[in-house]
Amino acid sequence: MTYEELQIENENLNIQELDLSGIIDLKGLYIDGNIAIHKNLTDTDKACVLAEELGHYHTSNGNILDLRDIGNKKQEYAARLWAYNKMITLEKIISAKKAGCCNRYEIAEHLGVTEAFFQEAIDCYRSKYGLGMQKGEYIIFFEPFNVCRMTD
Amino acid sequence: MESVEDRLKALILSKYKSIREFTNSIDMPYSTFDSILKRGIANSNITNVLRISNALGIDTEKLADGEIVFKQESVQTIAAHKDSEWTQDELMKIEEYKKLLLAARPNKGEDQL
Repeated sequence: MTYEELQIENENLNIQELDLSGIIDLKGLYIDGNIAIHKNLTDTDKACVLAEELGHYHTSNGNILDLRDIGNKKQEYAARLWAYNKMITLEKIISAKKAGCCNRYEIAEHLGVTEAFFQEAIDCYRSKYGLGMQKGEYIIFFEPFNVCRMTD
Repeated sequence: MESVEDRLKALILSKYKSIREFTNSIDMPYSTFDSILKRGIANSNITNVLRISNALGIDTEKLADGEIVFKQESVQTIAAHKDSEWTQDELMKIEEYKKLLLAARPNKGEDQL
């Protein structure tokens, strides 16, 4: 999904682009259904950040700024997992393959996410499903990443 | 200029059908509320003023000073990802961003009468 599509789908929420450059590496902020996205990011980056903040909207509760706390870390992971499932489903990976994408760079571009976000999602699926899994006539390998058609 | 008592009455009537409905909802005799309006909030019993301000979600201290200001909503959930520990300066910046973000909410104009 593109950044614009995510915004339209969540127009009930207060989503603002702000200059968050006062904190190094801060790209997004979530507060009770209000979302700030750093304005100087690319649209692809904004889409990934917005998906993560929407993940907080759907899965988080409480002040989870301190990620040294194991409970907060779990909530951060749950929000990311929500974002990965929103942006990069296994079905979408296969449809990218069907569209002619050959490697993870091309698939990430096809799905409108950054390579880093795509890799994090793949790592997450790796820990959830193991080395790979079959989906219809395709096998997705998570490490090293590859998508193969079984008749290939 | 309209007195704070008049503005308070107008606020109540914007939220309740009548003053009596409001006084019933906070378990206060109508006559007590009426005498608060006549005598002035600043000269009233603090317990009664607190009961009124809490029911309306307005700042008690400001009300006693003649202002009607809605209390800041307390934040329930806040999240921002950063790989390293937060410094004091960064947490202060988060507070700034929080204010900017909440101020941009579409219904913000209703916060102060």
